[in-house]
Amino acid sequence: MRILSSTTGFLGSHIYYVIEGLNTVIIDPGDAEIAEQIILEESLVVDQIILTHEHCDHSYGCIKIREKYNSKVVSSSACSANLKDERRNQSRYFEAFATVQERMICENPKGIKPFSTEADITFNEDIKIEWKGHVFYIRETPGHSEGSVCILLDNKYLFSGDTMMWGEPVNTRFTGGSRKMFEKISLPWLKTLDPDIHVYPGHLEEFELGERLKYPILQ
Amino acid sequence: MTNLEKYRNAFVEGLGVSEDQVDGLTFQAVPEWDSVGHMGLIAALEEAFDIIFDTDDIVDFSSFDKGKDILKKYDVVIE
Repeated sequence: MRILSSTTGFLGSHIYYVIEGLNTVIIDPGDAEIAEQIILEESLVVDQIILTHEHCDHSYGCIKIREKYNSKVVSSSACSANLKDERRNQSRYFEAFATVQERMICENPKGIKPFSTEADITFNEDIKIEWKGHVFYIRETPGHSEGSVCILLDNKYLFSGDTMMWGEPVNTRFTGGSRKMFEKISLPWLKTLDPDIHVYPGHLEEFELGERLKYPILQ
Repeated sequence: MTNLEKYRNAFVEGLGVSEDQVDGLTFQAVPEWDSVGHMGLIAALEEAFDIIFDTDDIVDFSSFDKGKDILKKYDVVIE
């Protein structure tokens, strides 16, 4: 099994490709064109797309990739519900957000246009997906957004979306975010995991879970 | 609720500031009104007044007072 990554021009969000043979599960295809570069370079069959949360910098590309490669999108029910709403998936505001931000956040000149979509497979609380001898355990971790999840692969790798990043506290201030839910539900669960788990976050660099938990996650 | 009450409430709820901070408030004058807070404010205003802002107006919405002028374009009079 291999895990590849690429970085979009949308706030530097990461796309991850879990690859077994010529099959892949793609996590957070924020930019369809960038995702397609890898798909074509590696001659991949896209079995599934999993979203860590509904924000457009992570989800925008799933519509095109799903359609073109005949795959299914998996997300939490809350994420799917928010994907349908241009405000809740933040796509309505992305262009303005990119302008208001003092730093460059959108290096893709096409930007993100407002969109509405939904997942094909949804779940509440958690779900286990077996794929090519591997196990994805996906669990709701609200806080950064209502629909946020973390994806634990083979108990060794964690795709955390924006729930946990290196060097940055979790941002619970977006609409639908909740500091309370993060403290009550998500953080306690993250603390039960093996500290040697390698984390692939939604932005910034990869890290070991135990190292990150040594520092405050919340501001 | 009057439009002015709805407007003030949108600032309180959207930015997470207190009622007494709202008058004369400007973008980036408080930590809560950063770019993230700004989007929350815009969402709260859209919901309160059932409108959809143009992108340019979202970018130009730089203060409590300026916002009142912008809302006039959407036939919302704050008083």
